[in-house]
Amino acid sequence: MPQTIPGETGEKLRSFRALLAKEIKVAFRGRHLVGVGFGLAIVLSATLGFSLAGTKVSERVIASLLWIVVMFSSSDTLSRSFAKEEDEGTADQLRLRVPMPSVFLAKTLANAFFVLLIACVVFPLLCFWLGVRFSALPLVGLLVLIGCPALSFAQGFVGYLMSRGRALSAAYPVIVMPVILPLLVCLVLATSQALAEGTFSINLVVVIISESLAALVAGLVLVPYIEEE
Amino acid sequence: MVASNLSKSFGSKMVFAGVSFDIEDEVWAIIGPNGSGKTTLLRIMAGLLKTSSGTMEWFDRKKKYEKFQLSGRIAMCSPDLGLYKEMTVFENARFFANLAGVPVPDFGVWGLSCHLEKRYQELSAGLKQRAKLMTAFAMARDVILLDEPEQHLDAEGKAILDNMVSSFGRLVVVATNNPWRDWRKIAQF
Repeated sequence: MPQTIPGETGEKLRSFRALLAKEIKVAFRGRHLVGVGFGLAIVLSATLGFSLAGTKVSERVIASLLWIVVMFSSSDTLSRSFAKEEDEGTADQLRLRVPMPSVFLAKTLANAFFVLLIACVVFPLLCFWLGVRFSALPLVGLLVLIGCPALSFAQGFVGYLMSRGRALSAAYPVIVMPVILPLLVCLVLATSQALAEGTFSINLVVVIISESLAALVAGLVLVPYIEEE
Repeated sequence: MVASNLSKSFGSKMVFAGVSFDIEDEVWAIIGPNGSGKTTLLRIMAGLLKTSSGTMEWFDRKKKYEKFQLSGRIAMCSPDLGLYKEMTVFENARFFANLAGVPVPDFGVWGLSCHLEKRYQELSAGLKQRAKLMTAFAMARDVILLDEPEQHLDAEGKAILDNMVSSFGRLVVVATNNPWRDWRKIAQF
């Protein structure tokens, strides 16, 4: 590995906690997460809710709408976070202090938290407007808890890559799509099963968890090599 | 820190070539006009940039350091390096002190005691520079690299900087086009 992690475990943990806290603080004080992330989530949910209220909508369509709104509302928070660090010169400050995989992991975990918060806005609103059965909500909630970190983990490495090749940043949604499409399809299928049948295929959850963890581990392994170049 | 025949080019543009030095704990200067490659050389010394040719050795000369393996030993203050604009002066200092495992710096020394609760983006250019210098000096263990450190500083700020540079006691490298002391030179472009 071209990168070593100096210090002891306690020191690493302290650094990592500081990085995580910084991510959350900077995101909530910046305009993007609150203005664009939550704003878009509420506007999209309300638009869909008012348009479809009183209409009989199939479970698969409801599930698709739920995850599409979450995905679009949260799609560029992570890539923006990486790009912002590069633009403002704080990325190099971090490079002088901590190994970049720690930064990558902290950003990805913080983003998972943000996606979860956005989902906490989107799901109740859409479930209310689209008349989702109350009995299905615990399972849908479980899928949200699994799906939001999974979406974040899957997007993390692409977001990081985009920040390193700034000319590519406009192409982020196009490049990230093949990575998250299988995940999104599995999430939609599992959610529609939960809404319709009150259960979901465990195989879908295994695919969701496996793909997102594989993407996360690939990111952690590849970040040092990309930094090296 | 030992460099042998360093050169750096970006594409077909050669920034500098044939730079060699062998420096130890003292204050050293890289002097040259704008665009001459001072910042590029400092970034190579910090391990943030690779050379196009030549070798760079840090600390333990038997060990081959890769980029970013120098984490925690070198601090740098440069116009290209910023602090978090959404965080206050105190929060920035505490955050970087936590990363470096050092105590929060003495804000009074840098004349920043009255500005602790101000967000970095609310500071004037001179105070931003003081905050960046304070953070760099607080984190520096072995080496501090300063790129145009006097930029935006008033007379008081320059006096503080001069005092900190003189009393650091380890390796300080200052890249400037206007050296305010007669330091030994690593390179004059």
